Formats: sequence, structure tokens, C-alpha cells
Amino acid sequence: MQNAKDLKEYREELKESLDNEFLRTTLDNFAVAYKAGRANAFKDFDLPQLIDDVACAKDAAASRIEELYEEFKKTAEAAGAHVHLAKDADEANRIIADIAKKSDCKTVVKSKSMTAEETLLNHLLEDEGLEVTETDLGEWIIQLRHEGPTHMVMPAIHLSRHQVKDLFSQVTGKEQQSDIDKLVKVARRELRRKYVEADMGVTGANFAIAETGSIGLVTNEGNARLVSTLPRVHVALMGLDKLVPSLDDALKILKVLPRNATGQAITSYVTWITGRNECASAEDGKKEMHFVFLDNGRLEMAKDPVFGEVLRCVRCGACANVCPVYRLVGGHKMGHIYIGAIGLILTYFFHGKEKAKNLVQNCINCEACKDICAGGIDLPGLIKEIHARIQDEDGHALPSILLGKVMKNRKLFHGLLKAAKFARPAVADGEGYLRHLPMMFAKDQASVRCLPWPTTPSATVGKRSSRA
Amino acid sequence: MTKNIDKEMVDLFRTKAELVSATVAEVADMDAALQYAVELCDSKEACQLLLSGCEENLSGGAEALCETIAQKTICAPELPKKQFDQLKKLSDDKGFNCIAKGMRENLGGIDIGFTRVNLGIAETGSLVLNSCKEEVRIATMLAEIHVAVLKKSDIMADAFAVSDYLKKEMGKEADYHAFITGASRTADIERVLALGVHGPLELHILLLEG
Repeated sequence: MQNAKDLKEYREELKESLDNEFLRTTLDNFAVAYKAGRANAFKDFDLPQLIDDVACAKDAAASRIEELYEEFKKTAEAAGAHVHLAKDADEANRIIADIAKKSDCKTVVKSKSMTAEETLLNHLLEDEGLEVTETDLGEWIIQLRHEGPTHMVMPAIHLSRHQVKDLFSQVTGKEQQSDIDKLVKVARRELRRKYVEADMGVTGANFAIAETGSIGLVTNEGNARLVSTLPRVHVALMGLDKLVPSLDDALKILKVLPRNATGQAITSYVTWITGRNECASAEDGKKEMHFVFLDNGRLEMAKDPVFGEVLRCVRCGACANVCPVYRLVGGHKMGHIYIGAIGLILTYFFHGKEKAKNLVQNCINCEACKDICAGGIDLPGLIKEIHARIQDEDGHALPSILLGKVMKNRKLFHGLLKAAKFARPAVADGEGYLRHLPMMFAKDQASVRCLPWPTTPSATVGKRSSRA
Repeated sequence: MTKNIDKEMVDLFRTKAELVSATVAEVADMDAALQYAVELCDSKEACQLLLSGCEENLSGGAEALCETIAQKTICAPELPKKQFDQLKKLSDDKGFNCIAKGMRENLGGIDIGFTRVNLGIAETGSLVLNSCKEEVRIATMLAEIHVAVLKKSDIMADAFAVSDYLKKEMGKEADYHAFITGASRTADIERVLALGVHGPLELHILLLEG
């Protein structure tokens, strides 16, 4: 989450992350393993074609998003489900809290939903006196630690088994061991109880299929199956961008999503739910079913000629997986709620300029994310556009204004270069490096700004090799 | 209509399912499948009655739910009566509890959930399971081992090949279907793969001739 007051404070936070050795090692290992796993998962497929299929399907859906919503609503309501449209995060949370109140729910189990993270649903439900338990293992861990996810698919990737051990020891009131298998089993039994007790189950959705009023859920743990089965009320919260016309569109996306996210051909469970299913704990033996769609700027985005393609995002998290900056600082610093390249963009639209203004400066425009994106979104281009918009609104920084003036004026630029030659003896160290640059514009970064002395190249190379 | 068995497709299905740590075996008929389930239940943790996780240091509430489990249980919620009776007889001989319903009284967990599945997907080694009945959903999620019987002729090439079937089912007023691929898994702690986080620790697929 982004709570830094200014760029200086944000840089200090970045430094903390850079000094976290466990995080660095974990993310390094992950970055390497991910690339191999993904390549293997796609080896028998025409990948550009698959990405194009996703982009086309999502663009076509976005172009008639309101129509698809109406179709979904009509079909789902005819099957006895309730369909709600929330214009923003507060309204979505309010709708869900009201459902809980009306149906006399006291306890809630949740499966993973980035949309619920976006609206900070748990905060409101807890304020209303409900007991909310995340059931995805990673989400449960970060819920117990009162923090946000650091990856869209692996929310607790920043934590070690020892940290989880300490946490579970606290939660169970008994000493645990740092054995991952054992820790998973403890979660299995502790969370089992929560499913059994829960009145309401909240899930997200990966697909909302307009034609049949159905949702599709993609999980590995199978928790969404339990969350949508045991409690008597099921609320599925999703962005309007999850709407697709038919099952075939969903299957096209499903072909790419798990392969791009984790290198899996498919997740352990893909669940398709339509209407009010059998539920023995409900009064009439049928589940009380609610679909809550969140707008929060998506309808406007769908019409935007530049940013419309953002709605192609299928939340696979791949743009974080390959981002060199994410790899260095992790998700708490490379995102607000949504993480990675897409996170920088969504933060601006869903959470506002203040949360996004420091984040967007992270992008080094290497385009690794653009190459890997499941929907072929021009992520670096859009981040640059947002950065420019923020600067236009807030005013550009003085160095950047000055540099802009210099770069535009060829004569001035060359004049300054020539003049700088005379300043060289003052900042050079005699070993071929400029070590004493007056870093008045970036005081906190001076230590990394040692540039080779741009004089006779052969002499510099000779010097370096003789030192080696 | 007689369906053809595409041997290559069956082999691909098997390979893909085994890649995600499912156990795949061939059975000659349903009797052999029932026998397989009972023997599996018998061999399961012979010297340990506890369900997975119950041996760990748990909080009071979680321990209480473990204590509701009295004997080994097999649940087969959607078998035709004749097959269920046969399974029950085999289970009785071993002293197991065999049920067709009542999973909500067994939320602590059961040993084996036994189902026939509707279709298979070769490309990913997935099962397509009609889960409209709540008992099916709970039995296949709260069992330590899910034993699923799949007819070889019901194996399709990929997810698009099952879409006609699925669209028809999803067109009904209420429907709940699942693609199941391997056991319940997580890599949420240090990206280390662990099976059986909420659902089955093992998935056994029995390929039936015909």
C-alpha cells in the first residue's frame, strides 16, 4: 500500500525493501523459475495467436460492456439470483454489508478476490461486526498480518516459512514448526472450521458469462468450491471487465491465464456456477445467490481510446513476474493494491493520483511486461502516459523543466557540453571515473552515480583491465 | 451410439493427469472400480486413524472438529443403487462407514469421495464433474482422497470440445460444474508445492473400458 507522504519518504521505503535479503532472494529465484515454467507451458502453442485471441475477445466484450451486463442481469435474475451494480468501492461494500444484515449473517468466509481487495471489503464488513476469514492460504496469512498482497497470484510471496510459523503459533496458541507441509495442514484444519461455521461465502469471479448468467472461478486450492458450497449465502464480487458474451470467450482466456500466471496448463479447480444451486443450510434448500458488479471507473475506461485496452487485463500477475523493479523491491512498493505494471496503471484509475504519483516513476520502460502480457496491453506506454498526465496536472519538477529546455535547443546543449569539459578535473578521481559529481538534484542517490570518464576510450579500458 | 476410443487421446490424458500428480489406473468394470476404492481406503494410513492435519498442534475449535471423526468413511453420492449397494457391502466387510448422503454431518472430513465423472479433457488431464448435487461437491472436497471413474470414450481433446456439453448444462436454471485437475494444491508459502490444502490430498482416476 502507498502511504508515503512524498517521494523522499517513498525512496526511504524502497531502501528498506532493497535491504530485505529474503525478499530479494525469493524474487530472484521466482523470476528465473517463472520464465522456464511459462516457456514450458506454452511450448506446444502459437503464443502470439493465443494472446491475440484474448485481446480480441476482451476488446469485443469491453465495446459492449453495458449490453453484456444487462444480458447477464436478465439471465441470472430469471434463474432467481440477485444482480447488483455498484458505481464505486463504497457502494459495493455497502451492498454486501446490507445483504449480510438482511440475511442475518454473522460469519463470512472469502476466497481470493482482487476486486474485494480493491474495495477494501473486509474493513467495512469487520466494522459492521462481521467475522471475516480469508480462506486462500496466502490471503489468510496476510489477513492475519494485517497487510495487503504483494503479488496478485501469490499474495504472501514476501514471507518466509519462519514468519508463517510464528504467525500460526500465535493464531493457534500452540508452538508450530517451520515445516511447510505441516503449516499447510494446520491451515487446512483451522480453516475447515471456518467454512463449517460461515453464514456467507464471498468469492470473486474470473469470468462472468452473459449468455447463461454464469460465473467461472479459477483456483488451485479449491477453497472457492467450499466457499460457494457450505454457507447459505453466496456473494460473487467482480469488476464489470469480467463480463464476456459466452463460455467460448471464457475458455479462450482460460487457455492463457494459468499458463501465463504460474506456468500451469490449468489450475486444479475451475468452477462454473449458474443460478441458485442446492444448499442444505438454506431455508428453501437453495443457495441465496448475489452477483455484485463493480464499475469504479471501468465503464468510462471502456470508452477511452487510449486506456480502453487496460480492461483486457486478466489479472495473471505476469507483468510483475518479469518486472526488474518488482524483482528488486517487491509488491508492497511496486503497487498500491494491484501490483506490477498493471498495478501502476490501475492504482491511478481506481485509487487516485496521490497513490500513483510515486509509483509510476518506477517504470524504466524496458517493455518486459509488454512482451509477456496475456492481453497484449502496451503497459509501459500507458504508464508513461499516466506519468505525463500527473506531471501536467501537478507541474513538472525543476530539473526536468530545465533539462527539457536544454534538450530542445541543440546549440545550448552543445554549448553546455563544451563548457562542462572545463569542470571535469574538479569531479574526476584520476582513475577514469567521475566520482565527485555535484548531485544536488539526487542527493540520496550519489553513491551509485559514478560514471566512467568520457575521454580517450582505449586509455580507460586499459586502466580498468590493469586494475582487474 | 457406440463411441470410439482414441488410444492416443487416452494416453495424452493419462500423461497430463500424472504430470499434476494424479494416480491413473485402468479398471475392467465398475465392480473393479468399487473394489479399488475399498482397498485404497483399507491401505490408507493403516496405523493412523486421524485425518490429515489432526495430528498437528491446533486451536481448540479446530481440534473439536477433528474429534467428530469416528471411523473410516467412504461417500459415494451419485452412484446408481445397485453399485452403491455393492460398495456398501464391500465397505461393511472391512468395517468402513459407507454413505450416499449426509456429508453435512461429516464436515470434519471423510477418507474417500467416490464419483463417476462426466467427461475428461486430454490436453490438461482434467475431469469434468457435474457438481449440482451438494453432496457431490462436499464429498469431493472434504475427502482425503477423491476416486473418480472416467470412461475412456468420454475423454475429449480440449476444453473447447466440452463446451457444447457445458453450455447446455449452464443453460439450465441452476448448474454447478467443475474442471478438476490433480489434487488441491498451494504454493503460497515460499512457492513450495504442498498438496491437500483444503481439498483432497490425492486424486485417483480410474479409466474404465468402453
